[in-house]
Amino acid sequence: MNFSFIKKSLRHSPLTRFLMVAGVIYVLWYLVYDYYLLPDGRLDEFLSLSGVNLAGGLLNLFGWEIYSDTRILAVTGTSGVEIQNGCNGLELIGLYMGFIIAYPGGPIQKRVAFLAGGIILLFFANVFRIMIFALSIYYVPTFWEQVHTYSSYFIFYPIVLTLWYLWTTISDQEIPLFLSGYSSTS
Amino acid sequence: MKNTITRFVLMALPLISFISAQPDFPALPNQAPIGGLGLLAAAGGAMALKKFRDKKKK
Repeated sequence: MNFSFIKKSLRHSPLTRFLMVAGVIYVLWYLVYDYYLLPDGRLDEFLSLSGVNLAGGLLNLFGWEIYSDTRILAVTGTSGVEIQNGCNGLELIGLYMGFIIAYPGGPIQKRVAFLAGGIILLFFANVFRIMIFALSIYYVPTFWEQVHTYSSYFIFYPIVLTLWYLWTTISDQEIPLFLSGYSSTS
Repeated sequence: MKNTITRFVLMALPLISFISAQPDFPALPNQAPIGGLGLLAAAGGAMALKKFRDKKKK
């Protein structure tokens, strides 16, 4: 098979290279998630349980009387919120990682640090989100659908987009010429 | 007698729905999946596109 077209695209267009690498990463991520992580369940369980425990601990610390049972967190007297697979931020973490890995440039140490820092930040953002959910069910139960629907846009979007922007800025400053796709004389 | 039994059965039949219908658990927890990730991915792609275009202009 002739791969010269692909090789040429990868060499001359950083955008094409980015989109292709990102696409491959996302496909790999979903395969790994669907066929290994989801059936195995340990990572999902860890994220859900630790998120619920941390959120419950913080609410308790701030004075709310809470009820927590495995994946369920509730301010006492309410139905509470259940953090199932898909609610624990793992999919979002995969999306975040895909962009950081695919965007060219930047030293590997900084990339790893950015990945680790971002994952930790997103985990704690999800803890904050779980707290907001538990409190919203207690104080404004009629607005549950709105709080649930728009929480991602107000909590995760600013964090992920800021981190992505910072990474593009950092990696552009330190991008090796052979990865940039542009000649030094242009 | 046969008619009485038939009437009784016919009157009792609708009551089955009352007997078999259990009330919902009063405290079913809400679930909260993270939505809008497709939009976020699209925003990331747009950001990358803008960065690459800006770099090309330089």
